[in-house]
Amino acid sequence: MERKFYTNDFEQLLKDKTDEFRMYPSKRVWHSIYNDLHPGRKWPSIAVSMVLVIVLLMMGYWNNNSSKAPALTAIATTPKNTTTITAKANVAAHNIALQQAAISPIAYQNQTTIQQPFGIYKNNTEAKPNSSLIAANKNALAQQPAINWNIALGQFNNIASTGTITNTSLLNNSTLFSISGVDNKNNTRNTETPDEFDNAVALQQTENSKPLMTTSANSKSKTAVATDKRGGNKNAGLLVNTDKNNTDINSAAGNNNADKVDDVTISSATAKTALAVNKKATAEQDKAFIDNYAFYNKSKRKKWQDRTALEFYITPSVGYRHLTNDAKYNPPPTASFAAGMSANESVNQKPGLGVEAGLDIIYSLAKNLRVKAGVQINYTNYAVTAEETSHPVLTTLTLTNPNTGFPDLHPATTTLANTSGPDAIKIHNKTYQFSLPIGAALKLSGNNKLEWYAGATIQPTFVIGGKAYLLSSDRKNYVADASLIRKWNVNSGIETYISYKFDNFTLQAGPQVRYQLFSTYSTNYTVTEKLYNVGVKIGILKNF
Amino acid sequence: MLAGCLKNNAAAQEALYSRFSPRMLGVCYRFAKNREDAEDMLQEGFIKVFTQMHQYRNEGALEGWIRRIIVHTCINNLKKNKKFSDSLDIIHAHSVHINEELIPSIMQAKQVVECIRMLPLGYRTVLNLYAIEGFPHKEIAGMLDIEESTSRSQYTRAKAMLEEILVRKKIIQKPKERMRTASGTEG
Repeated sequence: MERKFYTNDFEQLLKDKTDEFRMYPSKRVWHSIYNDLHPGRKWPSIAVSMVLVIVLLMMGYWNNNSSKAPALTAIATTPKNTTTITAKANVAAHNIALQQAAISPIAYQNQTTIQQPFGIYKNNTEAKPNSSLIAANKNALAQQPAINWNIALGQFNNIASTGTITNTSLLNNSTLFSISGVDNKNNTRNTETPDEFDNAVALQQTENSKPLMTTSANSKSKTAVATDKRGGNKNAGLLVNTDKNNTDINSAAGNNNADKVDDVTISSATAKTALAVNKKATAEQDKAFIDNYAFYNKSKRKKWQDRTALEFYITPSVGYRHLTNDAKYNPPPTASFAAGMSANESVNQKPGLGVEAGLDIIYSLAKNLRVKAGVQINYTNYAVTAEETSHPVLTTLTLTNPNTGFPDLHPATTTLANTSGPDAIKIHNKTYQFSLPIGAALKLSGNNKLEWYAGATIQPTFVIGGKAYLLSSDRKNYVADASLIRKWNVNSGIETYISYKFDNFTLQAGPQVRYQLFSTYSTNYTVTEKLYNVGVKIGILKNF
Repeated sequence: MLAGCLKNNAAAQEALYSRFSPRMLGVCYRFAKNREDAEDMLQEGFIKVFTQMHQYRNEGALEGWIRRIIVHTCINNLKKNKKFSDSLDIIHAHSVHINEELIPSIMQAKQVVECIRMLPLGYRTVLNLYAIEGFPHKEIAGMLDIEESTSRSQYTRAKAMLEEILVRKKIIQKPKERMRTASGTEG
């Protein structure tokens, strides 16, 4: 596109002014773009946010159950006379409360333990940054997730300063507060350490300016007294009286030259200090906070996530077997079996259909090399031709005596003959297996979308069960005896496949050969059977 | 940054977005009805930028290429909701009322943009495309499915209306005054 340059002053003015104009989009826009470009990575952020929420809930639950950390109740109602309330203070508490609402709205509204009380704050007559925290519960402070603000501490002794409030976007007349109580038993309110908080209340203003005081489940007689500046106590905290009969209150108030506080009366705004608790925080601010919370607290993607994928695969296959035996155990030649004929040559067998299916975790060690490990279930099957005899036949199986090491002939009965006459049937030798394949794959060639890999696996296998028809000593019959199937085995696999990347997942397909390293049967049986399967492996990969 | 975007690197994409999004949102804002629509256009536009990044041929500035995509996205967005027909806009233009109180009195750039946004949709779009983005009338006609003559007439009317607004807001002088000033004649 060519930008035409006009000599016309008016049009030049338009171009210049519009070029100067900037607008800054909300975080939501980038968030949406990111999720669209990286869809596979979307759920981790949601999952991480959920994990954070759950962890914070649990931390709050544990903290609230400890003896030194009183349960916190936060109540919000719509104040009827907001104009009479100087409740613009406690920016930090407001932030905390909003944060709590964002994190655990259910817990918040249930008025049960939410989080460990944070602290009490110096009253300000107007909301502004850098509100001073009178005393902080350091444990709670440490547990607060870092969002866009820090808290200014100060004014009291032995309280560490941690910074200043920078985020004023949550300031609002309609606020939710949570505060902690103060142990005034030692009348050391001005120098209280954070660990001494053991009570918590929240203040609720009613229509007649008679607020309803509620306390936590652990509320005790210990209370705190807070005054406004009338008492000359510039470091006054918040009103948290829970027990009007507590003489400590008045003595504490007297000692501190503070106004004695009625049990729950709050009058005009110019009189006592009060908290305004509003049921509904500003919709836009809360919504913005909640919208941004997950984004700001989205943990950075870990490097391993880029390299790791989950694969589900299935391999329909055709199963074969190969029999071998020690030649010294060959039976004498007969009309059916010539001298020196091996066991494998003595049977009439056909391949059968099997299947493997499993889940793998694939990790890219290098650009062209992957390693993988997973779980897999296998079904092996092949067919043997036999004929049913008209009556049970007594035969023998050649088994090695474990004590002597010499073969013994074990008697067995069967109705299956190793013949292939007109009435021949197919009997299926099958096993059900559980494997743990471990392997690697090497990228042979490819680009971003299409890749070609070759790989191999070793698969420790547990044989859950199956059916086995064993060749008798004279090879004339089959004896059904699943007890001789080996329980543990090892398989190996080699494969090659093409991998194609879609937007959200990768499809892989290619041939695979799987070979059983040890005999299907226990070492007692003198015939060794090795299975091998040839199939096509089809897999779907999804990145973490 | 460009190489990173081609590899779908999130950090590179965010850097590119951060660099160009303020100006591009300004472009979208001139076309859109409100900020939310502008942000939607911006979002859609940048997704196209990143998915079509491999088509960028290093001919010309990257910003110009991105801007072109953003403008086309805005136009497509508008076309989903409105047909640009001359008759409709002419009728609409005669009855339009410009609420000048809504135009901010500070920041001249924002004033000018808000004045542009006050124009009827058809006028505003043609003016944006011709006077600011530099598209020829023929191309504008193709983009908006209108006649080239309609594009020219829309632009003429849009320019006149906008001039009037800007004069009333004292952002610019009247054309006659400008000429007198330029020639040194006392007004």
